[in-house]
Amino acid sequence: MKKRANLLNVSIFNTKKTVAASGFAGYIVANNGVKFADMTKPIQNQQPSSTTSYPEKTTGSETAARVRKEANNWSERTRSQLFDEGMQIIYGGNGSGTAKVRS
Amino acid sequence: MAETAPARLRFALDTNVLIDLGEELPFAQRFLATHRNSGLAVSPTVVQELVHISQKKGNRAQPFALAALQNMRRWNITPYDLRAVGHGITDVSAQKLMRDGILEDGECNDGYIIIETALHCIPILISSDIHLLKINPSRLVRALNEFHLPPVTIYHPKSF
Repeated sequence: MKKRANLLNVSIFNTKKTVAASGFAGYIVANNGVKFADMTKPIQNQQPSSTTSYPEKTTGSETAARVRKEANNWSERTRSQLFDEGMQIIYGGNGSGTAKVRS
Repeated sequence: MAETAPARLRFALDTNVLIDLGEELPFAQRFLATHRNSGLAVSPTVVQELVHISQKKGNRAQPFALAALQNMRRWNITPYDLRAVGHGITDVSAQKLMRDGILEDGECNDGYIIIETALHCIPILISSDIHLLKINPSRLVRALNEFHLPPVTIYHPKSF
């Protein structure tokens, strides 16, 4: 009975250090030193890692949007030439084996 | 030794994703590492746009577009072309997408990319282009169905 009373007499810590260590908003320490995760507090949302989550805007998205505006007016001939040049860069050949684009 | 591309292509990549890969951005590389063996492909219009960007001296994305073209095979991404008749179908169908209001007027390259993806039976187009992402998916599927083309779903790369 005495032990139970000790456990109920707790103090709550909520420091950045404990959050980082435990993932919980805080933990409860009983008088006898035993730590319990404070399940009554919500888990703090961790910021998504900037290195892995795909952002809305990148150099690629901005450049492609700008170039696409010009590209909408390309002629068949320009498209065909660009595609042939692209295949030469990708495959390192002379592009003679590729089909004509929009001919 | 170069890996062989899977028989079935599942994802068509847009220009913006390829430039991100050329820039070696970590989130783009993570995407590639996860999906490089899933059948990645690039449509003719995307190849044309990449070449155009790679030739623009002074453009910040110029070296990234060139790197994307040079590394495409190493990344196991397959560029494809259509038969001449396919280009004709692409042109007509893209114009219809614009006439029906599915695409904004003048955004014919967006239309070409969608139709080229459908003509090659690739079910998913990955793009961060705002015009492509705001297309109503059910209207697009209905329109493609009218052209007797398989459905194409457009996703932002962050969805993966």
